[in-house]
Order: sequence, then structure tokens, then C-alpha cells
Amino acid sequence: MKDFFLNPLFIKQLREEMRSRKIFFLVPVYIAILSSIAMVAVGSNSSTSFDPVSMSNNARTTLFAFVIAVSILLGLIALILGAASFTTERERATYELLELTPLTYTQLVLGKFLHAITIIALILFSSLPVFSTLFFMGGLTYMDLILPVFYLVIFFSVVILGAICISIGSSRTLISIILSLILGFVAYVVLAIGGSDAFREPASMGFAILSPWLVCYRQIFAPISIKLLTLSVPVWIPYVIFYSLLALLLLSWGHNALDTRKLQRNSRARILGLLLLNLYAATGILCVNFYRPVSAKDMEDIYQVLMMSLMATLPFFAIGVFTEQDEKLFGMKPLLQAFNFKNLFRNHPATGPLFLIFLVLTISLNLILCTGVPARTVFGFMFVLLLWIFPWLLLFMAMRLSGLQARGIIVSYVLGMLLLTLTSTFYHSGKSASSIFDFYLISPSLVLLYAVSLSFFAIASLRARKRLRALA
Amino acid sequence: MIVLEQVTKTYGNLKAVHSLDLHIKQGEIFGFIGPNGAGKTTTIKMLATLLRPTSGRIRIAGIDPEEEPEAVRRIIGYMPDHFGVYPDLAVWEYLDFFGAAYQIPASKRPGLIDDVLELTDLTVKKYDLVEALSRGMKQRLCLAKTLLHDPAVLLLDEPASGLDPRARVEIRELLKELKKMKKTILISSHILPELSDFCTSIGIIERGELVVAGSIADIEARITQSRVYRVSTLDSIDAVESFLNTLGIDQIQRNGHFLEFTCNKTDEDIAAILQALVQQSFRVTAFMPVTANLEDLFMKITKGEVA
Repeated sequence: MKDFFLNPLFIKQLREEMRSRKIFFLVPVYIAILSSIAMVAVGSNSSTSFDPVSMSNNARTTLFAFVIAVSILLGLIALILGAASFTTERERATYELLELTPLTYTQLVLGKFLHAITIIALILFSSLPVFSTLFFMGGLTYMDLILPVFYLVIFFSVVILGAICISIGSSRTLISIILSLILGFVAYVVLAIGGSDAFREPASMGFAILSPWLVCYRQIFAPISIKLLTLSVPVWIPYVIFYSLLALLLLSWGHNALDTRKLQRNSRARILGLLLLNLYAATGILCVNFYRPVSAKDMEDIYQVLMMSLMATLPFFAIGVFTEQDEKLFGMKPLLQAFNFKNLFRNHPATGPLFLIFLVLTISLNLILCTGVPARTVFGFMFVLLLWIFPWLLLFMAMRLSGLQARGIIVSYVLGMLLLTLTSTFYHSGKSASSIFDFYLISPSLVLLYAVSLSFFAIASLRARKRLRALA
Repeated sequence: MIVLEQVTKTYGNLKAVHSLDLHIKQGEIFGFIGPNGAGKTTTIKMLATLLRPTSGRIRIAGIDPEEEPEAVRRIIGYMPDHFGVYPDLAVWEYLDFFGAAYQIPASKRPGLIDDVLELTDLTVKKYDLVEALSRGMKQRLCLAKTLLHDPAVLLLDEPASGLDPRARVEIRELLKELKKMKKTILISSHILPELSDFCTSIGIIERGELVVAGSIADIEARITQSRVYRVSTLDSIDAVESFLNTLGIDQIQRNGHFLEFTCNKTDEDIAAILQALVQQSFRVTAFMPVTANLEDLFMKITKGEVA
């Protein structure tokens, strides 16, 4: 335990950070923003009559507003701290020296993590005086303040670890920060959409267990348990368990990704990742199902959420597929190489298209086992999902083959998404499909996507082969 | 101490290092010489466990860096050619961080830091920020960091590159100190003369292949069968040249206002030539053997082609 906190990298980082001017500007700006929220809240309460109920309600609402403001402001800082962690070491050419010390890769990730979370905690605690102004309005207990802070710290830990993992995978700080911000934004949107129902319907927790806002909302307004099978479980228990597991996964992923010498040896992260995602999907489906049995119609919502999150993470699946040694092989038969086991095992868990397919298949199994929806319907939806995944994979592989960097891939990805959304909208406006299933299956944008990606892929393979021939 | 057997490293189709065989005994100082891009850094990185060889075997003190990189990392001290420092740390903090990372107990660290600072002549800078150090001082600081965990093997990749002559001399003095401490050192450079006065042996690498290896004297003898002498006089060098021709010396090179001739005669013959010159009343200002330096060896061996 002592070694854990006396991580030399952590101490070094703190020494450096405390000497930089960044932190002295960060804290006052942050406190100023929070204070302005508090002033608006107190100011709006200046009614002539003294009404304890409305005042305490106002206090709760303001506290929740604080939670949202803090999660966004500090979330940004956490993302940037994490995203800059390893890339700056690489850019300053200090990483090699660090790697050669007897510190394990896990210790390296932990050192960076402890530094970022300490800074975040420091800023968070420095804002407690602003938070405490709410106690004047009455109705709040200390727990209402302390627990949300605790939940937020847990949330930020995972945000930081995620950004550190991105930083490990990127070559430059700028790219790492941009990637982290994009992914962070998507994660926030998915969490917010996933949790929106549960604010209104107490038992409809489902996929929203992960939402830090929901857990804080529950604590501040109405601490109601969720029903899991026949058990009544406080919301924060699955929240804490899930986030701890996620942190562990990211930690072992970071360890794996840093240890470039023996990538293929560590299987912990891969298996843990699959289990975790399945656990999450299964719990969500169970929770939804016990509140109101899931119908075939609900499948469309689940499909939409899956589609969105998979689309957002796809570039990262594709980017990680290729290793230096594979280059030559890919020139000859790229598709075969990308989809074989050896390459999957050579890469970390969230990379490798096969992992993606496993994921989609196991989630469909969860759906079939946890709900009464017929297997035919579930597999039908998942088939459409896979149909949509393949052209994207082809597209990314083509870009990778033609030597495009991560930035190029991201830009083309965003443009491609926009283009597809536009064509779909124009084609489908005014028409009615019997279900979303039909909408996606018959979509001309799918045909367009296949055509474009196949031709891209063919051109890129030919060019890669030519290049390799020239090298030989 | 360091053994490489048939070590090959390829990047795609590019062979950076090709079937390299190398044996470096304990306490030896091995100069690793080659033009830029010859595979020096790749070889050193493979020894430092940072790269995996495509094929072949490496042993450092009997340990395979592929099997037990952690064990190897403890016994080697690696100084990369291009390295960064943490500008916001003080010199002692920088060393303290690496000391802690090398698991040196906190109680022993201060004494050890003082020792390495003393050795690298940085004691006066102990409390200064790393940012404020000059390039040569940073280089010495990195060397101090490398020595902190008392490694038996030192891998120094171009430790003197980009330094002014004074800083270079200081580094050289430091290396001589290390030589006295009986450390096995592998030092690479493309600037040759800086290695000649303290290396016990050298190896010349070109296009990923070891062209020649052995002690400087061995290599010199292998390449140059005969020796070169330089003569300069106050008189016309044409006259000297024609006189030397009459003595049966035909390999003569004019080099500005002096001559260089090559012969494989004994010392007695050489003395006789000088005597003859003086008897012919040539006003000789200098008559001396030219020792082949590493630069000449290097130019003779390599063809200037780079992998």
C-alpha cells in the first residue's frame, strides 16, 4: 500500500505540476464559474415570503446543477491531463529512460493516474466552500454533498484512465487530446441519453446504471433502490462495482499497450473486457425487462444505442488492427489477416474486429436469455448491425493500408458519417418504413457505403502491394 | 559480458542489422563505429531490451534480454543518443526520481546522488533546475542518472554528439574515470578520434554488418601493411622527392609543403634515410611516422555507403 502511494512517477509528476503555473490559473477560473452558478441560485430565491420547502428544493436543484457543471468542467480537465500523460513523455524523449527503469508498466500507468486524480481531487475539494453555501437554504444533509463528490471522483478515475489509454496509443499530444475529447463527448452523450428515462421512472434504470448524474440525482432527490431480479439494490452498489471493474480493465489494457515487446502474452484484459461488457449489457437488459418486459419494439432502441456506440468506437478497432510485422502479410491478403485469431490476440481487447463480432453475438445472446423477445428478431437486428459494421471496417483498413494516419482516419470518418446521415434523411423523408429494421436494411446508404468502401479497399490493397513489391 | 550471435533486425524489408556477431569481455571498452544509419542505435536498443531482434541470440551477463528484460534492465545503464529531461525538476530531484524508480532505498539515495554528482562534476548545480543546465551539463546529468544504480554494463549511444570541444573533453575524462571503475562499456560514435584514446577495442559497422572488430592496433596492422612517414623541409620539395626516389622509395605523396612516403622498411632503414637527407644538406624541419588514426581506418574500411 505504501509503495502504491509512493510511486516515484507520481511524486515526480506532482513536483512538476506544482511548479507549473497552469494549476494556479485553473483553480480560480473553476471556482469563479461555480460561484456564478451559486450566485444565480441564491439570487433567484429572493422571494418576500420565507418558504422552507421551496428553498430546500432550490438547494437540491442547485446542487444537481453543480454536479453537472463539475462533471463537465473537471471532466474536460481530467481528459486533457490523461491524454497528455504518455505522449508528452514521448515528445520530450523521456519515455525510453522511464521504460528502462524497473518500474512495471502497471506502475507507470498508476503513477500517471494518481497524479491526474490528485489534481482533480484537489480542485474538487477546493470548491467545497462554494458548495457549502447551499446549506444556508436548508434541507440538505452532509451526505448529499459528500456522496456525489465520491461518485464523481470514481467517474473521473475512469475518464482519466481512458484518456491515458488513448495517450498510450497515440504518437502526438494534440491527436491524443482531440481523440479523447471526441470519445469523451460521445461517452457523455450516450450516458445522458441512456439515463434520461430513468430520471422520470424510478425503476427504469437499465443501461443508465453507469450514469454518474443519475446516481447523484438519486442521492440528492430520492434515494430509491433498483430492482435486480427479486433483490432491491441501492443504485450506487452496481455503479461502484462497475466503475471499479472498468478501471481495472483500463489499467491492464494500458499495461498491455505499453508492453510493446510482448503484446500477445497478456490475455487478462481481453477476457475481462468481454466479460465486463456482457455483464453491463445483461444487467441493463435485466433491469429494463423487470420494470416492463422488453418487446420486439424496444429492440429498436437497443439497436440504436448499440449502433451509435459501435460506430463511435470503430475507428479505434480498426486503428489497432495492424502491427508493424503484419504490413507485409496485409499487402497480400488483408481481410484474411485482419479477421484471424492470431492478429486478434496480438492486439489489445478493444481492437480486433473479431472481438467486435464476439461482442455483438454475446449481446444478442444476453437479449435472448434475459427477455422474452424471440431469437429470430434479436439475430435479425444483430445481423443488420454486422452488415453495417463490415463496410466501415473495410474503409478503415483501406485507409490504414494506404498509409493514412489516425487524424486522416478520424476526419474521413466524421465526413463519412455526415454524408450517410444526409443521404438517409433525403431518401427516407416522407416515406414510412414498418420498423427501424427495414429502415436500415433497405437503406441505399448501406449500398453506397459498401460500394465506396470496397473500391477504396481494392485501390489501397493494390497500392500497398505495389509499394511492398518496390521495397522487395 | 555482452554476446551477440547472428543477430538480425529487419524493419519490413529493410535489414537494419544483419547477422551481427560480437563478444565483449568484462571490463572492456568497446567503441562501436559506423556512419549514420549503419545500425548502431538499433543494435544498442536491442541490447537495452527496447527492441526485439528478428532472429539471433543476445546475452548480457548470461541473461537473455528477450526472456528476462527486467533482469537485464537492472544491470545495464543506457544513455540514448537523443534524450529528454524534466525541465521543472531540480537536479537532485531528477536523480532522486530515477533512484526511487530503480528501487534504491530512500535512506541511501542522498549519499548516492552526491557521489554521482561528484563524479560528473555537477555538485555545484545540485539545487538548480534542470532547465537551467547547458547541453553538456544535461549530457553529464543523464550519465549521472545512468550510473545511479551502479550498472555493470554501460551502453552509451553517441554520448558526445552535439557538444562543444570543451564539453567533449569533459565527457572523455569522465569515461576514463569509468574505465578505472572496471565497467564494461559499449560506446558508439560516428566521430572517430574521440574514441581512440580510451577504447580497448573497436568494431566498425556498415549497412548493418560488422565490417571489422578487434583492438585498434590489430585492425591497424590488418589494414596497413606498411607505415607512412612525413618529411618537411625548408628547401624545395621537388628536390627532396627526387632524392627519395634515388633511395628506392616510390610511394610518395605531395601534401602542400611536406611529403608523405610509404614504405615497409625497418627502423634502421628509416634512420638511414634521415641521415642521408641531412647529409645532402636538406634543412629538415620534421621527420616523423604518421599514426593511422581511427578516421583513416574508418575511411579505408567503409565505402561510404549507408544502409
